Formats: sequence, C-alpha cells, structure tokens
Amino acid sequence: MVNKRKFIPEGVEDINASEFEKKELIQSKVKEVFKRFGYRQIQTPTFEYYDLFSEIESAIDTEDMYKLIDASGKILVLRPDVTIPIARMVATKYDTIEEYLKFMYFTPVFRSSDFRAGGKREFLQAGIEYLGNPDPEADAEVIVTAISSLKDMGFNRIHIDMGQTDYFKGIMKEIDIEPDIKNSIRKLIENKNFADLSIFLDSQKIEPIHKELLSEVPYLYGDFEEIVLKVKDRAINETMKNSADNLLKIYKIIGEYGYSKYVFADLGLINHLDYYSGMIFKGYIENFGTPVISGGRYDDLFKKFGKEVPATGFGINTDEVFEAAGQYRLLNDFNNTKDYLLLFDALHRQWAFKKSMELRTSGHIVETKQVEGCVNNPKEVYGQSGYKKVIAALGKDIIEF
Amino acid sequence: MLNIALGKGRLADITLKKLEEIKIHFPEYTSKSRKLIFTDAMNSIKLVFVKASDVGIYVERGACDIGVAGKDTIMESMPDVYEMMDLKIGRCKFAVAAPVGFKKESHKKIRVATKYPNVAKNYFERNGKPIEIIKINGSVELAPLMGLADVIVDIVETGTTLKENGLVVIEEISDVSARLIVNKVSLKTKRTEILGIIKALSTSSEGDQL
Repeated sequence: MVNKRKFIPEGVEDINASEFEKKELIQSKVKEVFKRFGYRQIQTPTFEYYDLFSEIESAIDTEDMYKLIDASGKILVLRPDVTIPIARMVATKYDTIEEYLKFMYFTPVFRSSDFRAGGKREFLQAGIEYLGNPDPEADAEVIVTAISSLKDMGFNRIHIDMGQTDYFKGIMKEIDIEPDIKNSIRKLIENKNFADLSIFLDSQKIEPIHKELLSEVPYLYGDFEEIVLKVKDRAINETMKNSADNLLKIYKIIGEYGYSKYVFADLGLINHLDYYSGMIFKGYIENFGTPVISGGRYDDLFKKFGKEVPATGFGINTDEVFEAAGQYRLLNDFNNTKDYLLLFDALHRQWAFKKSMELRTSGHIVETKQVEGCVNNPKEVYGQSGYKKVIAALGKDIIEF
Repeated sequence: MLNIALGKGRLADITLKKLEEIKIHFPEYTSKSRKLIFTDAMNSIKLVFVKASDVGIYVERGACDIGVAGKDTIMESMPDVYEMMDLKIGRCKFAVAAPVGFKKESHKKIRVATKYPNVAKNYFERNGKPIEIIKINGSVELAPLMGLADVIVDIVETGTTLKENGLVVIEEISDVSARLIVNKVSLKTKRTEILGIIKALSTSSEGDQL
C-alpha cells in the first residue's frame, strides 16, 4: 500500500501564488466586462440535493456527479453545474420577475471526468444568465458579452459558431422514429460523421426528402448569412423557417454592435437538445484545441420548476482560457514583485516599523527584516532580492537603492 | 501550419501515398526513418507519428489538427472529434470469436478477452448479455485456448490467425476502416486548409483498398 499522505487525487490541483495571481487577473477582467453589461454576482451552495440534478435532463451525466450522503440519509451532490441551481434559486426565491434579471457567477464545479484527456474534477466556471427576456436582443447581447470578455483578456483571434436547435428539431418533427434512433442521428451529425450518417440513414425508414435534409445538416457551417439563407430556403415547416429568421435577427443585432466578423454559422451544433431551446453557440480561440465558451437559450428549464421564464446565457471555462492565455503569452508582462524591503538593525527597529506602516497606508507592499550584526555593503547582498526598492536602516546611514 | 497525426504502419504509408497524389510531399520521410516529425516541402504541413491508438487524443486536444485513425481505436477511446471521412482503407471487422464448438451456457457470464474493453462492453451491453472483461494487450487468440476466457473480441481481417488457432467468428460487431478525424476547433479556424486536404483525399484514386 502506497502512503497517500504526500499526494493529491487525480483531477485536482494546488495553485501556487504567482499562478493564482495570474488567474485572478484574468478573472477580474472577465468580471469587469460582465459588470459593464449589468450583471450582478450571485452564489449558490457547494452541495445540493441529487434530485435537483437527476430529474432534469441537462448537460451533465448523473454518473459524473460527486455524491455525498448526509446524516439523515439524503443524497447530496457537489455542484456539478451552475445554471440549474440558479434556475432553482430564481424559481423559488423570486415570486414575480418584473424586470430582467442578470446574474453572473464565478464558482468551482465538480465532475468526475476522463483523466485520459487531462480532465479535471474541480474547475472554475464563470458565466452569465440573462433571465426574463425572450427577444433576439438578449441573445445578441449575450454573444457580444462573450466576445467582449475574450477581447478584454487580450485575445483577438476569436471565432463564434452559432446554431439553432429548432432547425434539427423541426426536421425531426416530420419523422416518426424512436427517440434512440433520433439520438444516434443527432450524434452522427454533431460529429460530422458523413460516412456513417449516410449508411445509418439508409438503414432507416425515412422519406428521401427528410433523409436529404438530415444528411445536409453537418455541411451547414461557415459564412453566416450564406448558410442561414440557404437553411431558410430549405425549410419545410414553420419551426425550421422560424429558426432561420431568429438566427438572422440575432446576427443583424450583433452586426449593429460591430461584432459580426467574429460570428459564423454551424447548424450542426445540436448538443444537449433537451436543455437548449433556440439559439446555441460555442466560442473558440484560434489555435487552441478546445472550445472555451458554450451557451445558448434555455427557455424550457424553468418549466421544470413550474415557471415561465425565458433565459439565455453562457459559461466560460476559465481554466482553459488561462491555458490559452499562456499559449498566446498574454500574461508575460505580468509581474508581481513587491514594492519595498525594509532592512533594519536593533537601533532602527522602531523607526523601521513606523516607516513600514506609513508605506503600507499609502498602498505599497512592504516587508521588513531585522539584520543581525553589520552588513558592509547591503546593496550587494540585497540588491537582487526581487523588490522594487530596498531601504536599509543599518548603522549610521539610511540608504535607499 | 497544419499538424497531421498518423499511426506508424500500413495506414500511414497509404495515407502518405494519397498525400503525394495531391502534391504534398515530405522529402525527408522514408518508412524506415526513426524520426517522428516531418515537415512538407512547402513548409505548411507537419506530419507527426504517434502510436495508432493515440491519434484520437492528439486530435481531440488540438495538438494535431487532423489525423488518420482506425475505426477500431475510435470506437475504443471515443475521442470528441469530427469524424469526417471514411478513407476506405485498412478495412476489417470487429468480431466475437470462440473455439470451434463453443456453446454458450445460458445462465453463465461469458468471459471475454480483448484489447478493446469498451467496444466489448458496449456491444454485449447493447445485447443485454452479462460478461466479464479480461483486458489483454496482445495475442488475444491465446486466451480461450488457455482457459483464460470463453470468447474474444478483436479485429478480424482474413480470419487466418483465428483458423490457425482453432477459433471461429461467432458474431460480427461492425465494419472497421480508416477514418479522417478533425479537431473541432481547427475545422472552424483553419477551414480552407483542412477542407482542401479532405477534398483532395476524397477525389484521389480509390483503387488501393486492402
């Protein structure tokens, strides 16, 4: 048996001081952007009842949740997601929503994930939820907020893919097949698996016109207006047509913000269809292999709590963003040197402490150190110690260098 | 710069031949070379040789933009990537094989030896059969002969190895062939380069099936 005393479990990490400061810097930039768009920070508990998450089809598998049993035998889970608790909080604590509610969060989430891919079990998630506004303006603002937060962190090469769940749902409405088969088709489309999709569709009893529409979905990505106008052209029912109109409206507003150059279409974005109900999007940073932002409209979630609240929002995986920032060397100028080192001998003790407090009051970072005996050339000994300034109150003279 | 992940071996040789056909040439490459990274003559594509079963993870995490991987390793490790093209090379089948004359006893768990525990688990789960998986790293055919397992799940090409060891295919699981996989972000951010390669690979000769 290996003694685990000196190790930490897989998927969690210690963060050292300079790394923490850099992470905090990135976070503060994101928070600043969210604030400017009118979001206010909230926090939900670290653990909640398992039933809250198990009874709602969401982005997380119940198998991936960390469960605890409390003293009375109830099953709890460590916060595996933030949106569902916020929906619970709003549905139970806000009787009437007269105005829009705009919330932001910065909080750890816990999921047991695949270590093979360097998966983390505890990671920090940031995000916003815009509640009470059903209009395309809200969706556009949410996407603009996402782009702004990446821009403010210093990223320029940003790519947003936007899709609409109702286009796929609209096709599926026309076809009478088992949910299992629908899900297989959805997965093949999501992975742009052209070869297996056509074989699978051929093996099912589906009308040729619907087969053609479905096999086209994975190709529907790229230039926004070109793709969405094509989609609108192909629509065979109101649901599909409305989804295209909705996308065009959102895109037009993003254009009015001046941000449409970052936005592309991908109608093959159809993950978590039980959760999303409308516009859906993902944000990428060029040359960084995993999406850093994902979000969309989720009007149906509140129905599970017996309320009608239109909702839209997104989450940022700040750990991934931090990795990307490292890759783009955005944090290279970051420097966390301290301001003053105050060296003193027994004679200057009182003077030094008083001086240190004066400096701290005026906002400087100060450390003090008593030196035993005499130092002939303090500049040589302490000159390279990483402080902006050293004050040596040793012997007769007080020198600064 | 586009990074391509390949598993060393026959799949890589055929892929390279196809790339040559579309005028992508790696001057330093020979199949005997021990180097793991090669850059093409135009200096726009980097070829990276990794273990065949690692192609998926290199592409999923974005270390490589595209890769060529067997459907067998894709089914086993299920990487989160776009699986955009069936290259129609390296064809074989996933199958369940057992010693000649094997009869399943209805109430007993079947012991399955395999290099592909996830594939085996998913297949038998789908069919509602209780099994016990024994993960083996090579010469899977041996396991039933030595009494370590009742059946094996493995890829089968011609069936010669099975026959020589007194095994027969009792169930076919699925077809396997090489796939072109693409990182989900790269497809969007390096679209023209990647679509160029895909288009070229799909229109080049298809007479080299194995």
